[in-house]
Amino acid sequence: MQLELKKLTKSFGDVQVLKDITFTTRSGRAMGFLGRNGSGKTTTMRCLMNVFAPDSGEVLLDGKPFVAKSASIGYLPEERGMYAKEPILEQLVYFSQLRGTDKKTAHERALYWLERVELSEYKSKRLEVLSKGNQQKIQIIQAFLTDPDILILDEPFSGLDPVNSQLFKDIILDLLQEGKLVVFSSHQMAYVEEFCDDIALIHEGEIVLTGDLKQIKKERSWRQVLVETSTPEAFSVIDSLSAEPPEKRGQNYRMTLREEMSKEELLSALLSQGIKIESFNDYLPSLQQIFLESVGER
Amino acid sequence: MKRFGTVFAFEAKSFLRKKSFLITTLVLMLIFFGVWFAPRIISLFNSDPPAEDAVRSDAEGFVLLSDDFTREEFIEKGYIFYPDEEAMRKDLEEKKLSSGFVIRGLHAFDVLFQDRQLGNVQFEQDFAVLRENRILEKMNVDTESYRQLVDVPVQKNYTVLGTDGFSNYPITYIFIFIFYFLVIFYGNVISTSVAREKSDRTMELLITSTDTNSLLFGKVLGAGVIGVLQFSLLIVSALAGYFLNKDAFGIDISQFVQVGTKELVYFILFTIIGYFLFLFLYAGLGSAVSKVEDVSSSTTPITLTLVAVYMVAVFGMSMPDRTFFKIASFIPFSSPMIMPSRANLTSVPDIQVMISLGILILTSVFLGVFAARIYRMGTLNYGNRLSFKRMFKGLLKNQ
Repeated sequence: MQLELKKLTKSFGDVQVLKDITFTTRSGRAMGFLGRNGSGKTTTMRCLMNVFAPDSGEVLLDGKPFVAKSASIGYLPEERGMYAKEPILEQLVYFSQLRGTDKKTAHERALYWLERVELSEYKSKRLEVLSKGNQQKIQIIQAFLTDPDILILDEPFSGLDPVNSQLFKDIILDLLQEGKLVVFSSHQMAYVEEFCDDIALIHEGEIVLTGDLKQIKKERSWRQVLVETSTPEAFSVIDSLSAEPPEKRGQNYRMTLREEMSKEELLSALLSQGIKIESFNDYLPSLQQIFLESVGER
Repeated sequence: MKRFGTVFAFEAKSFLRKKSFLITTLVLMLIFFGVWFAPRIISLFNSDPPAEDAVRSDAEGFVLLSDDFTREEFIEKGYIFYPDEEAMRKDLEEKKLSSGFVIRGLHAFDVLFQDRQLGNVQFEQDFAVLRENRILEKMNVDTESYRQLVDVPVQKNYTVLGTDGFSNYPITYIFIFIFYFLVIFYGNVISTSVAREKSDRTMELLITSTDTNSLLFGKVLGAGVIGVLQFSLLIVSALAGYFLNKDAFGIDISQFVQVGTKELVYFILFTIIGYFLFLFLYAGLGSAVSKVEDVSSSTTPITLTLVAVYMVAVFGMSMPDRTFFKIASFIPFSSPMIMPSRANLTSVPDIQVMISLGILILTSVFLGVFAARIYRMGTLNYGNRLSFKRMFKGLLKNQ
């Protein structure tokens, strides 16, 4: 499956919140929809879910207009409220039934997911008696209950401790392997970096960068390499071999390759000058750096 | 409306799961059942005859300033004689008397009260009898024989060809009150529950899961039916309590509250459909606010409407054939109270009842859909309350 957002725009009063939002994602790949607070992530997701209609633009699923209600879809809204005073299992079954699952299946799946996030013992408790983090877990599994093909998760990791974040990352990875299409938003770049296949960076309502994350990183490495050395006096040698002044962090140097020199030639030049190499890698910028650079370019 | 059944069942069950709801129902049932035991309980404590009170606060005095009457005539009837008004006033101020009379002549008397209360008519009757005697004496008529002739009771037979509005008065009042209570009580339950969904932020999940009509109709009907059930239980408890204690009341209360089958059917139909009409409004306005605390201010217009209708209904009961009452029995907001009242109090052609019922049903469905739209619009409107202007603007835009 392929989900395409094409030139979505949305204004509230005089404020244009979304400006030509365009990106594409496919089944089996995790799409990270990233941006700062207030950049338009939630509004985009709400337009996608038809909570409100975009002013213009369209959403296509495999080339056909996408209708959130008739698609097999799991949604974790940013407003992730559920009924505070109702028993957990009861309302999980209810939400699942509302999306068309029959009662028996809804019940089985709810029990399965409660088990998987280690909250089975609370199934007949009211939601409000759980800790905030555990309430969050219930709210997240609500999105998985109908075994949907598409998952739209607005800030799934916010408010979770590292152990629970990992639990959900593993769950989402499993779902990706089953061929689900996953779009999730986040403002914590470092948190989701290892986890995104594709990214769409949004800034002030505009997509500033989108595509395959590995590809983007490669393109943005700018012929730079990371050299780790234990030789104390390495700086002058490294400086003489780098096209741009190198950046030093502890034992690590970020060097820029000269036009005429390949990576292999640089490595042998360093070794021949007596530099002891601990590691030698392509430099790949972090998602955070890519984001800051992309936003800075504007 | 695909998921109507699911929403209906969930909403209804959520009431039945609540301990507070079950306990309240039980307590109310006990009260409704128990009040009928009051006469028996009171009679347990009232076995001793009341002790003689030295100072009768309900004593009445009189001053006689006319030769038309004799002092003894009034003393005989239990009034206390005072030689002058001053002395009587003093006792009135000291609350030894409840009222005092200054008899000025055959056709005039003054009344003095310490605190005026309702129902002080005994003196007027006594005065009228004595006055009549005096006049008869002046006309040389033997008062004894006159009384004998006049005091023969008149045989009366009433035949009502149409509707017996006189006998149906109490039951009509009870009908009006039941409707009023149902709507006020459960209307607030509904609007609070919708507002809570908003403040819990459950709305976004709900509206992305299924259609708004299912949500709103399911919610209103689910809670509404539970309301009717709860209320019916209270009525059954009250009836059970009454029938167990029927004999303790001396008089048969049920003779005042008789109702024909047709009128009862009208009452049930109008009450239930009208009840849902109001519940839709309460639900719609409940979703126009974002905090539970704001519900009551948002629903004030409906509550005021209901109070106005209640007053028209009670006021019109004594003149059910007036035009305003007829018109009100067709307007969908007032017809649930007024059409059954009219049918109870006067003759109403069936066709009129059917037309009014038809209007009521159509309006209810329309308002249901309308409320669903407000519900959808109000979903993501946090912060300020949706104004009526914005609501209507938004509705037009949606269409």
